[in-house]
Amino acid sequence: MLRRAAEALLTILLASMLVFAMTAALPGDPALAMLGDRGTPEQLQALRAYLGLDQPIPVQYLRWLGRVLRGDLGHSLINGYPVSALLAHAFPITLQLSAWSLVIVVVIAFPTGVYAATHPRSRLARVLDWYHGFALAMPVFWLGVLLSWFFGVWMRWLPPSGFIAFADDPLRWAKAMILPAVSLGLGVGSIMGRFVQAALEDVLGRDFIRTARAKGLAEHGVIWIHALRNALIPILTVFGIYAGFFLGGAVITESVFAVPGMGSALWRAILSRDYLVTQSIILVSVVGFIAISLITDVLYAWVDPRIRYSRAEGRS
Amino acid sequence: MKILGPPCVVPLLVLIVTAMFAPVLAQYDPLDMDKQSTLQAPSWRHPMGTDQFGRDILSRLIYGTRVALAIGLGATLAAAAIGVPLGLWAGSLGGKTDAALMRGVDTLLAIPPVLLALALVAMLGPGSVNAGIAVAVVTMPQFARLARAGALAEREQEYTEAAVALGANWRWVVFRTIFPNVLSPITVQVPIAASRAILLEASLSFLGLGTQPPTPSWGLMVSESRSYMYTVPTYGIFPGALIAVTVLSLNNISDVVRRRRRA
Repeated sequence: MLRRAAEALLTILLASMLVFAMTAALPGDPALAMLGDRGTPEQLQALRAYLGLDQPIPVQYLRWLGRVLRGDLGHSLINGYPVSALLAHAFPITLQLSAWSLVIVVVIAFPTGVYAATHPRSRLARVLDWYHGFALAMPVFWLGVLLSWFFGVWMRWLPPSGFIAFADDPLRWAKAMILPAVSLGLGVGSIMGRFVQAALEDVLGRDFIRTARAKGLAEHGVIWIHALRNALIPILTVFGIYAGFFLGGAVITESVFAVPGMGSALWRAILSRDYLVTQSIILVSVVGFIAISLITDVLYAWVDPRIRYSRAEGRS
Repeated sequence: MKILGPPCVVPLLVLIVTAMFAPVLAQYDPLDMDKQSTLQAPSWRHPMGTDQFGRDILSRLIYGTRVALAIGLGATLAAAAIGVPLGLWAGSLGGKTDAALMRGVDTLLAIPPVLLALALVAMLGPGSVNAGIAVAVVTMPQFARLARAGALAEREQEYTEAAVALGANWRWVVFRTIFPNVLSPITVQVPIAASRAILLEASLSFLGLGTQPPTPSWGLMVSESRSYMYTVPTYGIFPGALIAVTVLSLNNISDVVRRRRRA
């Protein structure tokens, strides 16, 4: 596990170099490219000093990394707002959206996956296969626009866009979260649905399932207790990977539904060429994504004792 | 055609023909504005209606096929053209070169595709070409990984050893002995990568970071339709549906090729 953590750390370090290159590789004078015609000569000079442009590139990188590790992510070039404060406001909103989307994924993936695995030749299983195919082909932004129009504008059941804080009104918060969460979770729900089906089909063919059936256990007990519990381990791993992907997908969903999370902050920053905000949000998202992958790996080894045994044996 | 079975390739073939013969098939110029007939619902004159500038939506969709296929397929082929030799090189050489190259590839794979594409577009600036470059960079690591895995397996085969023993040079071994044998999994990957590339380009255009107006692009058309969903709901439905059909067709082709390979 230590080796896996070291690998993750190395990946984060390499990714940080890539993110640093975003500003360092700007053509000409990076400070001028960042400020454009927005700043005064004094501001330009201050930005040059802040970025350390008179230093060699490796020194600039190390200085930048040092600042990031101390929690100094810089200031917005548009409004001077500290990036860390912006993230402190936006990150919890994206986290709430991701949590809601995970619920949607579970609601879609498990019933459809279990049904398709246990009734492989049924008509509904074939319909579900087609449904997953369509859900995977549907662009997230189009789905968001359609959901917003149908349920928000046409039916008026849910707010078409916007965000309400939980503390202000829990019911309106939940209502505002449903459409963005469905838009973000539907595609991943289908990926996971197919994965649950495949994992369960694999487990259902094993000897211990045959034994459980031979003992006279009820079929739903065999599936939900014996088979699904054993299929859960690989499912959880893939689940973790796709939970991390919500950080990327949130950019599109948040921009469609005007959710003020990290995704829409990143989108606005790119459109307004606010390089420091863009760089910081991408760095935080990448670190978050790699951290989620690492946590999933740790959980995987913790849930499945065989992995720890094999490693222990390997060591001895 | 016989190998893939007709149903799944038909939509893709139709799109390719549409892109090639767009000037013949489109009834109107996609950039022609008609202030007298803005935001019209579908009619005989305009089968899919008109947009906010009175431009014919069907004609814009037809021309948009060119952008989608050029960036989707072009970026995928560019990614394969860079990724496959890179993977073959790393896999056949092994050692420190392999470790260093694959660490870089893994770093790119560790970043969610949308985020990586956004980071690149933020650096390069919005536009079709830059979006294409971003999509190609995002797609490239998948091909490099696949080719490297194939090369590692093929390197140990007796016929590769025989070629080396016969005195064949390294380039000949890699491209004449190893490459033809790793081609099959790469062929399966091409349609799936192209479908993701089309989705990614459409997403970037939707966010205003890919194809820029007035050039017709499916993602951009969905984005522009948002302000008029109250008045002309059909405006945004057609381009989105076309993206979905294209992606579905490419995914189906990939599934069929994979199944044939297993059989």
